[in-house]
Amino acid sequence: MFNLFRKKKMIQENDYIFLKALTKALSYKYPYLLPQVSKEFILDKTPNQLGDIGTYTFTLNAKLESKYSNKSLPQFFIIKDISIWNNLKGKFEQIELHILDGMIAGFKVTSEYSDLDLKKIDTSNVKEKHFNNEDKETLKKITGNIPSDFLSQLDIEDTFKIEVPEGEFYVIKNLEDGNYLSMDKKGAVYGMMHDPYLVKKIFDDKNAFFEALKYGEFNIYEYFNKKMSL
Amino acid sequence: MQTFLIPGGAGVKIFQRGFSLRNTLTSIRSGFLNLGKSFSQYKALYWAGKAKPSLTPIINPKTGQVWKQYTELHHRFIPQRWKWAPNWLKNNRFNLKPVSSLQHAQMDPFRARFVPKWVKEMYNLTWK
Repeated sequence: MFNLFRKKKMIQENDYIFLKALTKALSYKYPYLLPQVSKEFILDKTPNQLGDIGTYTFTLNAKLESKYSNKSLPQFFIIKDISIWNNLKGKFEQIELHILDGMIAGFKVTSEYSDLDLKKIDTSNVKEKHFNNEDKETLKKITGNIPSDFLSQLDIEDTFKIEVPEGEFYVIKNLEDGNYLSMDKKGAVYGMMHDPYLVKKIFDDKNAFFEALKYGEFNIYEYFNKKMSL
Repeated sequence: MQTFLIPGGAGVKIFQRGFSLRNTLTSIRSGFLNLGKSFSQYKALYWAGKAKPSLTPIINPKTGQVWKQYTELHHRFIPQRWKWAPNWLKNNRFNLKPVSSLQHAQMDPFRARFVPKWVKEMYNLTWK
């Protein structure tokens, strides 16, 4: 009975078959995509309102993000011009895949799967479309070279700018549930909590922050837990 | 040892400082507020269960702008900032609703503050 009220998933078996075929054809160049096409990792799809018709975004299992994400790749790029034969139109048509931190995050297809011949996929003209990430570039200029020991503790690659009355801040760590650690343009480090609302300077400069991390005087999770236990 | 005088009494040592009425009331209040799980404790138990935290990025394929939104726990009736409310009233399955970052920002104007500007504009978010 409770299934009546459960939100029906948009993703179907056909989607997985389609994605398997695409990623298999691309595996010579993007071998990391094929293992990601599973019901355990890709949980659902939703139409992407910011894209053209036929553009979808996936809902991914965040517990598997650390397994599949690759921060050495650009944060976001599009694999374009994957050609697939359309039986109805009698010609090849173009598909694109959206790649986020090395994870398959969305795609664009304008035809019904039933019209497509999954055995005729041509990847010879595949191109990548890349974008500038101004926020990331700005943050990297502010932080300079971060010791590799600390990079894994931070979310520098996923940064974005937060603009609030207190100023402009660049996220350096997502503390989850709408809370962040951030850095301003001078390199001061702030805790940003939304409930109760708080924007508070924790370190005056980046060096003090990295030193405190290095000597164990500051622990990001302890800081968050302390704030959330108040 | 502190001595307290009772009116009409004769300087009998009754209470130590730690047992003064004010301290007693403070500790009762503190104990009442801390009854139940803190947000961090509730969250750890919630995600240790069957629920799968999800990542649903907001992607603008035309500009390449991306905001990674995760499942967040939102205090829907009693916010964390209501300090008079005890933990058990704030951190329970009726008050904490799993929502996406965007849904969270659409429901909580303080959460909306911490959203990228382009998302605020795209989804007409109002923020305090």
